Amino acid sequence: MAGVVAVAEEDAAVVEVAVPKPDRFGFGWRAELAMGMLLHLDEIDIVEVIAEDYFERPELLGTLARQVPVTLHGVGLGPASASAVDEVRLGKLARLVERVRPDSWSEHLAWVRGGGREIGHLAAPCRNAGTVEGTLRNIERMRRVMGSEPVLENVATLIDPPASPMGEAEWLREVLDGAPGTGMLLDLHNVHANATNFGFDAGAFLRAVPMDRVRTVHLAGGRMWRGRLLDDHLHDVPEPVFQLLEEAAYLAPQPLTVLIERDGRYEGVDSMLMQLREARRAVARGRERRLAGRAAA
Amino acid sequence: MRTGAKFEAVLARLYTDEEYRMRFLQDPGAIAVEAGLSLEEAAALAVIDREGLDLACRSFQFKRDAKV
Repeated sequence: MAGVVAVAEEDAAVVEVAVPKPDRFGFGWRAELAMGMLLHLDEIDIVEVIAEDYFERPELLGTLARQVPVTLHGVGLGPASASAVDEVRLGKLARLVERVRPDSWSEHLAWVRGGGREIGHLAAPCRNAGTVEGTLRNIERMRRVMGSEPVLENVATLIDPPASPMGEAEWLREVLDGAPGTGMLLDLHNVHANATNFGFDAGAFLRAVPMDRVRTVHLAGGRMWRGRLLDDHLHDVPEPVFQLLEEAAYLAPQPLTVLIERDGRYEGVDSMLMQLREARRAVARGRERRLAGRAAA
Repeated sequence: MRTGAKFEAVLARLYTDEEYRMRFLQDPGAIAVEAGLSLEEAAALAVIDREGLDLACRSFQFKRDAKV
């Protein structure tokens, strides 16, 4: 949480004082935005790279990783499942992590295949005791092969998964309680989408999950589709998501890495940078509220 | 409530196989029996969020098509 620096005092004695690590801000790395991002590294602290894009050509990441801190984001393991994660994919991810040595690596609390069928995208888990146990077994498999702890992301869903007696926050808490070393990647647009689609309070959700476990925050945009909010990553980050970011910065005691994801309909890096600056302001507001609250206490 | 690999196999097929999904929507019980699901699992599947199922299947299909 805090770095330590040596400080020389008047009598020349050297004492150590804790210096909080700063929050960091960046983008999901996309080829269409690459040049614009490289020209603005003064505003970008870190980039997130889709791991599967580099399984067959890891050398391409070396150049990028020498210029800016990189975090790897997996989309193909699907650990929130009763079935074991694919060992071949896990091995590829481990080799990429070994080669790139990223700042961190993450995956989704989703499942992506069942009965030999590829769903093609991230499916929200059925929220019950069986999937909590299956997910914990997979986290242990990943930890063993990767040699490090994952950071795991909550997912958006258009369908309320069947066989789900647990609420989403309760299911997430059960998983994180069972995997004490695992960090959380809190996707705030996914929270906003699920809250919109299934009628729960997004702010209450943030207070129900272990915010002290959040390492990374995702921001994105979406659109309404037949009465439900689709997390399509094709639109700007909406105001309610910035409000949730302020709340997350207020609730979380630790430094956060905040990343904006965009997967198409690009409007240039300037538009992305404006949203990144808005994210910085939202986090600053949350941190100020947190400090004021602690001072008052 | 517990679900396992068998339940996920049924759900994955519902998400990806339109003909299977149509059969399910007409007779969820028959699909549950055919798949060997428990009574508890069959009951959970019978009350599935049908509007959400349709939207999710379309979204997954779009993602699969985009990868081809």
